Amino acid sequence: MTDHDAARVDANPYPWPFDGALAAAHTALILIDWQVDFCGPGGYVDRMGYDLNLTRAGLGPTAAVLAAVRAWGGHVVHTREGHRPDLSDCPANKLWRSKRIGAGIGDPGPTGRILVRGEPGWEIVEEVAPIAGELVIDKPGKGAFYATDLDLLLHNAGITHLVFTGITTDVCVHTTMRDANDRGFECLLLSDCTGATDVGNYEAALKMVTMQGGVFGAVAESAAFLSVIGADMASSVGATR
Amino acid sequence: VASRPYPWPYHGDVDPARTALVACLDNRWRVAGTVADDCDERLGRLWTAAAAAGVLLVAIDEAPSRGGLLLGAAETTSSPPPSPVGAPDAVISAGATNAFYASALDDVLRRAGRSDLLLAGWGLEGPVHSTLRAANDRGFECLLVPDASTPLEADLVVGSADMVCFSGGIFGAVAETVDVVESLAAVTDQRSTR
Repeated sequence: MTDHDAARVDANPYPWPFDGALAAAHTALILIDWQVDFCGPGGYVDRMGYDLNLTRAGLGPTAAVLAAVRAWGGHVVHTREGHRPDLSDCPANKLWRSKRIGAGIGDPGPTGRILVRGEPGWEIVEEVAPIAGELVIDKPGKGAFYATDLDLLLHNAGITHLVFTGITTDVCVHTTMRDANDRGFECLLLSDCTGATDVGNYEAALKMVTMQGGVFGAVAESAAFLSVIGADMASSVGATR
Repeated sequence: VASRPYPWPYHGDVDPARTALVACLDNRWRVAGTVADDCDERLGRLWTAAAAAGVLLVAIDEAPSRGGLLLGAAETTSSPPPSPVGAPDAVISAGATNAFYASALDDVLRRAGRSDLLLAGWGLEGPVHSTLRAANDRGFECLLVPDASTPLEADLVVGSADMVCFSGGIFGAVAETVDVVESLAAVTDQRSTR
């Protein structure tokens, strides 16, 4: 913790974080699945016929938040969904469903084999690509805690507060945020830094976070978060002078 | 089963011996009202049909250790109304909203050879959805039964079901109680006439 109280983020349904203890050293920006497969031409989502503009909508605001968090000194965690080349970590029903809608996991596409680790489509898009020192989590499922070392890495780094961006809102972002909340992490979702293949599902996912006084955490626009970490940086500079 | 976006289960065989009904029954997610009563009534029918077919009956209760949230409805109910379901085969004390977290659920299901799950109960957007998501990541073949799952907010019912169905059934499939009961009754009849 810094030697001063950072202001809380203007969030819904409560000023985030609940404990008022926002500090770069204990906070991680989580970037969920900003991969070509989910927001790039020729990838998995494109192959299923969805509008890429919906999943790409949050990319610009996320890039701005990423730059700010790096300057602030916060932690950064990227996740990627993908399977081993032999698909031995892909559940049979997941493979069956993907083939049924014409976007089979492991099938060749314009960006390489769909949802397979190491392929061009599996890479994180350049706008928010990881840099040295940032954590990258490879996950076989929707949730970033299942079958990964994310929980261990967060605890080892002393991270208690998580700020979520990524795609898609109702699938991988929601699953990971729910599990993070179950584990006691204090979670914030940035509404303009996330998107889904369906607007209705995006809106329902945001509302699910805020029901019952914030059952899975809180939701804010990125501007509200940026203003708070900007003020925190300004006061930190002042304090060290 | 007549379900969307595909006929559940994906392997084509409704087999009670490999199926479990996972009912989220944490009182803190129980709400009052006619919508809840109707959902409970269908949950009861689903439970009875599953029991008759030989489906493993699993009741989920969230352990109170973490304190967690106390819902208004639970606080104002001095004596909870009677349970809509009968005796379960297994009771799982879950560590959190996702019933797989810090619980024996995965172990219980796999030891009993249950790969196909019917999901229902209290908190459609809460425990039911979190548990469905975790089960799907683990490879379980999931069927959400929204009309046997009490919502906290009525306008989130559509979203809760649609989220499952996108991308060809990203978390599995969705069906109505009446259609699940019909399929279970059919396999029960087949078995008894053999």
